[in-house]
Formats: sequence, C-alpha cells, structure tokens
Amino acid sequence: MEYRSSQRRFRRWWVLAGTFVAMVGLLYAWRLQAQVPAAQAAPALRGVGRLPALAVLTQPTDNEVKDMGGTFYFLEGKAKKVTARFADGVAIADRGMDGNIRTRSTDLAGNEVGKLSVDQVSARDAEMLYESNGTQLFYAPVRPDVRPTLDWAALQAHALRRDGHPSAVQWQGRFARARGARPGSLDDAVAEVVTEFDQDVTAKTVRVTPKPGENKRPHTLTRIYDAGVEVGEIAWVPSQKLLMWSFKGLTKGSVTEETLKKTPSGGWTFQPSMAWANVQALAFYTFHTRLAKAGAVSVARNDREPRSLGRKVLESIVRPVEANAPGCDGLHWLDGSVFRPCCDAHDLCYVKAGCNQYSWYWPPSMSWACTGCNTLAVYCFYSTIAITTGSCVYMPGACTW
Amino acid sequence: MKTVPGLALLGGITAAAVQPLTPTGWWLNSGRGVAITTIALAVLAALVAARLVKWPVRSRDAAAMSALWVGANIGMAVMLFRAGPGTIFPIVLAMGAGISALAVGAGSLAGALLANVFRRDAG
Repeated sequence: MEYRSSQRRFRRWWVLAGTFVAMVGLLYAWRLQAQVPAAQAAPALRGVGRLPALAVLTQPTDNEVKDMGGTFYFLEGKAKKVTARFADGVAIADRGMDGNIRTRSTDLAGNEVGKLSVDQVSARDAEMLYESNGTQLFYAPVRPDVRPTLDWAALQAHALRRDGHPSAVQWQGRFARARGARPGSLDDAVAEVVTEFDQDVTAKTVRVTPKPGENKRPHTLTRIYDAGVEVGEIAWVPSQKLLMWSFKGLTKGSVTEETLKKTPSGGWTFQPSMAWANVQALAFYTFHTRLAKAGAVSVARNDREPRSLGRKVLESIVRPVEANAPGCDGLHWLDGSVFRPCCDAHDLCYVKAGCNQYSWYWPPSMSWACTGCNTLAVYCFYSTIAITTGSCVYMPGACTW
Repeated sequence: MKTVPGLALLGGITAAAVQPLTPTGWWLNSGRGVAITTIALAVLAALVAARLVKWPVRSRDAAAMSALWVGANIGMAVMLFRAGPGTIFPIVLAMGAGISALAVGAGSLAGALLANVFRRDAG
C-alpha cells in the first residue's frame, strides 16, 4: 500500500518536472516569438484585398523591406509632406486628412510626369494607383509587409518614372518596379529630402560631399526648424556608421556601431536614410523638449510638495526623479520585442501628464492621468502576453482594446 | 522551519550579488543579464534542493524552495530600487518574478531528482 502511494507520488513529481521543462521551453519559444516585429509575426492578416497581388521577385534586392518599429511610424505619421529631390526631378508626397498619400513626380522644370495614389483601404491594407499623362498604368495592393510612408511613396513614384512608367510591375523588395531586376538602393539616388511635420516643424536633409583636400568624409546633414527657427542638427557618416546630433539646450551627442553593440540592439539594425534622419531629428527635438518641460515641472512640483516622514525616508532610498529613458525602463531586454510599443506609449503618456514613478506608489499624489498611464501599460503588457501565448481564450476581454 | 528565513536570505544575497556582474547592473536590461541571473538562480536552487529536498518532496520542502525564490526577488527588488526603479517598475518586478520562478523551479527539480538518483545508487 505504502509502495503504491509512493509510486503514485513519484509519478506525480515526474509530471511536475515535465511541466516545468515544458514551461521553460515555452518561455524561450515565446520570447523568440515576441522578438519578431508584429508586422512580420502576422503577415497573413494583411493583404486580403479585392485586387490580385503583384508578383514578388524572389532574389534579394538592395531595397529590402524593413520594419522600422512603432515609434518611427508614430512620428512619421506626423509628417504632412515630403519633398525628395533627385538629379533628374522631384517627387512630392502629401498625406491627406484620411491618411491617404498623393505623390506627384515632376521633372526639373516642375512638369508633372507621374502620379501615385496610395489609399489606406483598411487599418492594415493599402492599394496604389499609378498614372502618367492621365493614363492609369496599374492599380495593385501594396505588399502586405510594406508600410506606406511619405518618403516611401516619393521614392516609389520616382522609381516608376525611372523605369519608364511601366504597366506591368513586380515587387522588388519594398518597391514595385518594372519586371527584371533593378539593382541599386533607391535611397542613394536622393539628393535632398524635406519633411514638413505638423505644428510648423520642418526637417531638411542634404548630402554633403567634402571638397578635395577637406579632412571630412561624405555625410548627410539634417537641420530641423521650428516655426522657421533652426533648433538642431544631425549628421550621419555612412563610412563610419557614426551619428552625431546637437540640439541647443536639449541634447548633444554621438553614437557609433561600437556603442550600439553594447546595447540590446547589437548595432545598427538598418541603414539610416535621409528621410529617417528627418524623423529622427523630430524625435530628438520633441522628446527632449517635452522631457525638459516635464522634468522641470516634476522637479518643481516635487520640491514644492510638503513631504511626509515616510516620503522623506522613501526618497532617501529611491531616487526622487528618475530619468525616463527611451524604451522599457528596467526591461531593456525586451526593447526590440512586441512589448516596445507598450513602453513607448507609457513614456509618452508620462511626458504629456508630467508623471514620475511615484504615481505607482500612491495614485492621488500626482494626477489620475498618471494612474491612467500606468493602468494602460499594465493592460498592454497583459494583453500582449495573452496574444503571444495564445491564451486569450482563457482571459476573455484581455485581447481587445 | 529554521531553513525558511535562512534560505530567503541566501536567495536574496545571491540574487543581489549577481546583479553587478550583469552588463548594465540590472539583469532584465540585457539578454546576457537574464542568462547570468537565471543560471545563477537555477544552480543555487539545484544545490539547495540536492541538499535539503528529500524524495518524495513534502510541502515543507516546497516552502523552503519558495522561500529561496521570494528571497531572491526581494534581493533583486532592493538592487533595482538602489539603481533607480524606472517608470514601469511594478511590471519589471512581475516579469522578473515570473522568470525567476521558472529558474528556481527548474533548478530545484533538477537538483532534487539528481540527488535522489545518486542517493538511490549509493544505497
């Protein structure tokens, strides 16, 4: 009897051990899945349109599709107009109130030679129509993993013009091109990109080629203007993979491949383009301006507030105003994962409402808006875990917003 | 029951002592930090379980290993608050608790099973 009971217990422990091993395996599998950008993780959800999809060139191209991350697309969405200048013409992409993009491709004299319309037909699907001289040349769905941005539309319109206004096209990386492989990165063909954001902020990036004898390397130079006043600049040196920036009174610094290798990103995960530099300039300017304002407000408020003994003891142990770093503070391991948008949204929410970590300890100590930020962050993490583990069915309501 | 506070202390000291060995001083900030801390906790749990846990496992043994895990989390929380908790620290602590539970759980089971096999062979 005792033997049987001990045997049963032994079996139970084996089951438990197996469960733990399976849990560890699942954790790693989930983490790997979580590291895949959302756009890549669920490609099947997109591209279900009424138009037949274009063929995709199977061989690798110089213009591969790249997910730039939620923060980039959020900031890029603030752009109203992108003007890209090329050696043989200009492409001007405008974003309408409905999110649809209209792009005009002109020659150097300003005559319209091509027109590309990109319509967002659903949250995830877009269709594009290309016309030249009033003739519709093709109408096709945008490749599911391509996220239409203004600079993409400008480059796409210019590429079609360079290909001789084709009516039969195929996807070659992130661009629809005339059939037959077209080598060369389209980003390299741009001479100047001007991005006009909302709230009268404009960024302009140009290529700088050093004069003979000058001790400089070719680079791109971005200047950002707020209401016409220059507020900062960025320089990108491709040969050294070096990014330098200077924003008056806000931030100044540089980052190299070696520096990035010490971070969770492990280095540059993409080749910075001129349009990216404009968006990055906006990121530096807006985030640091807001942080400076919110930081000053928080410090002032913290200094003004009467402190209880408990609070004084707490502040002697915990840093009073913690710098809010980009990404997931204290959880940077997950910066490149599907959790990143939760952290970015929380950071933005904190900046807007002027919160710091004290809002977690005692919600009424700041404002209820801070409690809202924290609640949303918890809910975002919770639902993301539920979605990535497929456990939504066990937690009804956790996966809907 | 003397082992429970002792194990909590051991877990706390070990977890806190490992943090300076991680690349950024906090384990959940990098993949290497996660690997170092997870391995350290699993090895500690395996050693403790091999020494203390008798087969079949009783609830007292489970309580002892839980104390080790709770202690480890307290130690790590102290280190996090010393470095500056950041803006999402409750979420960070919850994530850390989940991952460390897996590490301590897996280590404990491995240690207990191995010790049981060796004891049986020796017997």
